[in-house]
Amino acid sequence: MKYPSPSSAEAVVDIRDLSRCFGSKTALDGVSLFVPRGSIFGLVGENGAGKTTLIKHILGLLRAETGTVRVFGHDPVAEPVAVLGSIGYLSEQPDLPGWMRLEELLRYTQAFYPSWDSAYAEKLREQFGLDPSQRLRTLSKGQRAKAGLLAAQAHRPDLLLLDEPSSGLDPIVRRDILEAVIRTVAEEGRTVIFSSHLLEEIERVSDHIAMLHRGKVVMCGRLDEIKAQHRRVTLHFESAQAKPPAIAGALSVAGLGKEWTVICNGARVQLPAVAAELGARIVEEHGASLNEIFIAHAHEPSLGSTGGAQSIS
Amino acid sequence: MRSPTAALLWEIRKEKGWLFWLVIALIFFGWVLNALWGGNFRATEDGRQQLLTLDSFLACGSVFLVFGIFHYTEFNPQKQWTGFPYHLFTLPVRTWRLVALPMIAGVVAAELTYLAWVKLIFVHNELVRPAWFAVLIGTYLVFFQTILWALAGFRILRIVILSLVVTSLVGVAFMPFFSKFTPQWWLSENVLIAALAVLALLAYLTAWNIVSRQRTGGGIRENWLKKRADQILDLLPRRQSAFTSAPAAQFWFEWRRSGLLLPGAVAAILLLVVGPLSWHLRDEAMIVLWMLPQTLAMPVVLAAAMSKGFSKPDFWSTNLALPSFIATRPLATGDMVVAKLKAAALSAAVTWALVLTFLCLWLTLWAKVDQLSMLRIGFWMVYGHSVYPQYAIAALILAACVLLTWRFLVGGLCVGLSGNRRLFIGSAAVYCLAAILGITSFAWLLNHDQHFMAWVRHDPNELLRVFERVVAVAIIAKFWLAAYSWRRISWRRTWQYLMLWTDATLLLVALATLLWADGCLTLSLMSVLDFLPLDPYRLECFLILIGLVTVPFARLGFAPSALTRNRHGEFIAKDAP
Amino acid sequence: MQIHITSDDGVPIYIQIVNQVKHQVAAGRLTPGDEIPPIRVLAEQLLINPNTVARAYLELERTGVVTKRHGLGTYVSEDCSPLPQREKLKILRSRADSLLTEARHLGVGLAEVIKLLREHDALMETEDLHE
Repeated sequence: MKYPSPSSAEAVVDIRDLSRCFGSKTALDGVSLFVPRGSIFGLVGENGAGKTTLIKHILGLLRAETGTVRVFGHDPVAEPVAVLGSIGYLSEQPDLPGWMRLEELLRYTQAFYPSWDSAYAEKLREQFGLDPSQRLRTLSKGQRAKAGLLAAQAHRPDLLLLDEPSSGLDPIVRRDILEAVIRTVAEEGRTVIFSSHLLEEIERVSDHIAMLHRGKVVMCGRLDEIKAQHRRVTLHFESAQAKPPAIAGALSVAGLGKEWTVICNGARVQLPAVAAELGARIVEEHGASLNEIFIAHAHEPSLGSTGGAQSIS
Repeated sequence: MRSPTAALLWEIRKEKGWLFWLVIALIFFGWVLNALWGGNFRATEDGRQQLLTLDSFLACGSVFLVFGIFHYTEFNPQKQWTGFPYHLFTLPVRTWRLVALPMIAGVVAAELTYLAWVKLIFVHNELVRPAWFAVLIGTYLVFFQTILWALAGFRILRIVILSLVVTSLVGVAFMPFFSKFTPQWWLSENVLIAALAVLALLAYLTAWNIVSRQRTGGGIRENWLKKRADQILDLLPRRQSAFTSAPAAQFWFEWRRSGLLLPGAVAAILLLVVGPLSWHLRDEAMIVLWMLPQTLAMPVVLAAAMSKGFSKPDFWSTNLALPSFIATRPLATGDMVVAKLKAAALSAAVTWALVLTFLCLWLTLWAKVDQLSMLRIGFWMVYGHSVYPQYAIAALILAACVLLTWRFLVGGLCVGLSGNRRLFIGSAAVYCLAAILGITSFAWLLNHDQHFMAWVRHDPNELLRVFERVVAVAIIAKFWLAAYSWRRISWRRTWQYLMLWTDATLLLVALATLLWADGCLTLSLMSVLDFLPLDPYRLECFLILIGLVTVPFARLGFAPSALTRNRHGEFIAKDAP
Repeated sequence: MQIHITSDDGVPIYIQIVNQVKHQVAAGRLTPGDEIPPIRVLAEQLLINPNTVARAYLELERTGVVTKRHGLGTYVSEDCSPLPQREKLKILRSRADSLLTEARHLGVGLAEVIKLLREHDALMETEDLHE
């Protein structure tokens, strides 16, 4: 069965104004995202921010209540076969059937994807050190993750979708997963979307990121631009401050006494003036790490100069 | 919370709060009913019987609810079984205490409920042997909990053993009543009570042993049965070749998952029950004539019993949502349903192949076939001495049985695949209630209503006419619903299934015609026709009408759309994924 | 070619690669004519985005440290003699900036700093002689 090849449009995933509620809880609130082809797209957010819900919408496991979702130009709910045939998915929950043997899993998965590469699958299996005749329920958590990754990658999907691939896994398995991600993208035109808490991984590997906080997109754009815009500045005040000083344009303020560290977003130019007004001078300045940016946005997103969604790209 | 005991008890009450209230409500309702209207009922003999029946139902219901409160199990996601609550294992409480607490609390609650019923409601009736029933209820609860905890890893075996134990314990319940007839010392009430108490203590010790083994991770003998089963399965020949297409792979998946269940169960029953029974009783008169229809009916009944399980996306899990492993396959929903239908068909075919093999062996080797001579005579009278109608009827009966089995396996798909738990449980409840109500009201009508009996006796075909009209309306509804539910499905698929449906229905109609031809009916149903002189030709038409309704059409059309809604998360629970 | 990346530094990763390659060329660990790994291989080895590696290589090519031969790979430039010296000085310049800024903050004068440098240089000389 031949699947229609994805259109040569720029976007692999195009989400406009997506909202989703579960009962009274809002999981996604007006999310708009654009994943360009050939990029490694990192999805960042705390637990319950809506990352898994977003990924389920991309896979068609949830129908969009409001807004539209387009993957390769198709609606994943209306045309599941066309969309899923080009996606390799590794889920966070252990969803591989425990009763299957590894070789059965590979044989079963192979039937669904005409672009399955058996030699590549065999090479990966050997590299991961997996025994084909073992049942999946006897594998450890890391081995099961590798098996899932093997099944997701072997057909060289146009979109590799990883939902918290490293959660609860040891560094060796994490390394294997990252290697797989990079190998995917190095072959032209293929895209990776992965969500993670481990910001060091996202920082090393992504070129675009989106940050979700309480169902809203707080930040979305190229990673290097985001990192260039966010600076960590240390201010030295003349007199000790009893409570955190209110600094316009700062995302977060932390410190004690005379020295306070401010994470600011794009407001670097006005900062010396603002600081001088408050009776402080800049003593240290550094680029903020993604960890610091994430925490700054997650704590008080409304402290930012524009608040809500910040689209930089 | 002052002590661990209080905390654990509080946990039970918090979890099952509403069940407690339900039990108390039932007791209260029974008490009010008896207090206010008891006098009216007890005036007549009939009334007293009815009141007694109602009270017994309510009493049994409340005792079952108490059993439900104290089953005290929890789903362990690591081990994938439902057993003793594993989150208690990390508490600083000794295992004997953890096990004794739900047992003692359960026994106390059950006894209190029983006491309430005896003292408040059954005051007027002389309850025979009240102490015996009290002991019975207590020990049954202990056995129930022990079996649930001990066999946590063997889900199906646990159900089987529970059913066996329940049946045998019902027998045990009646034992003291036999002491009137056969005065054995061990049938006396006191001895039995002592024996049950000892057994309950043994059950507690067993439960303690097993739960403490589970607490410390199982040890060497953990899941030895599963390991042996795995080893045996490893030795069996495995599929080596790749699949030809995606639907073929999905068919393999469905077959592996639940295909061998029905054949396995039927094989087990044939080997363990029907075979030995037929051997032991082979010299009994009319045994063949009695066992043959039972053997033929058994797979169909089993399929009907398992139908709810098969209609779920996965037989072995209670989760009605389509597992994401399947939902993310690039396979159309219609193909998924077709894979299920094909697996069910193969399952039915294999089952009946087994039954056929058994029948061949039985009828040729050790059955006394001269008992079937009466059937033979009937045949000769109708068809002469040619063998072709015999073989035709036998083949048609076999095909009809396969069809019926398949029908029960797939009939519930439109409900089970929808993922809507309320619909699923609701439909099961509706079936049970309808069956119970139908049977009880019909029996009551037959026994009590003079007008009804007079009407039936006056013209028995009236009854048939009523049923005919009902079935005719059902046929019209069936085709209307079929047109509605199949409108979205592709024409090619619809045409394929229409052909299948037509063939199957023609088969059933042919069977009905052949079987009830001419005087064959009168011979076979002589006893019924004595009681209710129905017109045989009319009956044949009625059976043809039933044949038209039997093969599922409309509900299979609803299955793909139900699965689509399930796949796209329509009936996801209110808690976020 | 062994390169180590830290992601928490605030320094963009591609700059870290560029600096380390320049270091290695200056230190003689990479001689002119040596091949440096293709983009894909280095990305997989370091577990970073291939685009980042591509950007680093582009920068290295722009400054003339490496040259790309079509179809054959990327090699360390032959004519490196004036460049490494310039690059060496550039690296030392930024170190000098850090040292002088720190000295200013601490209130240590330039003469003291130079004296400190001389002392340490003498120490290093004696260590070298002992080895």
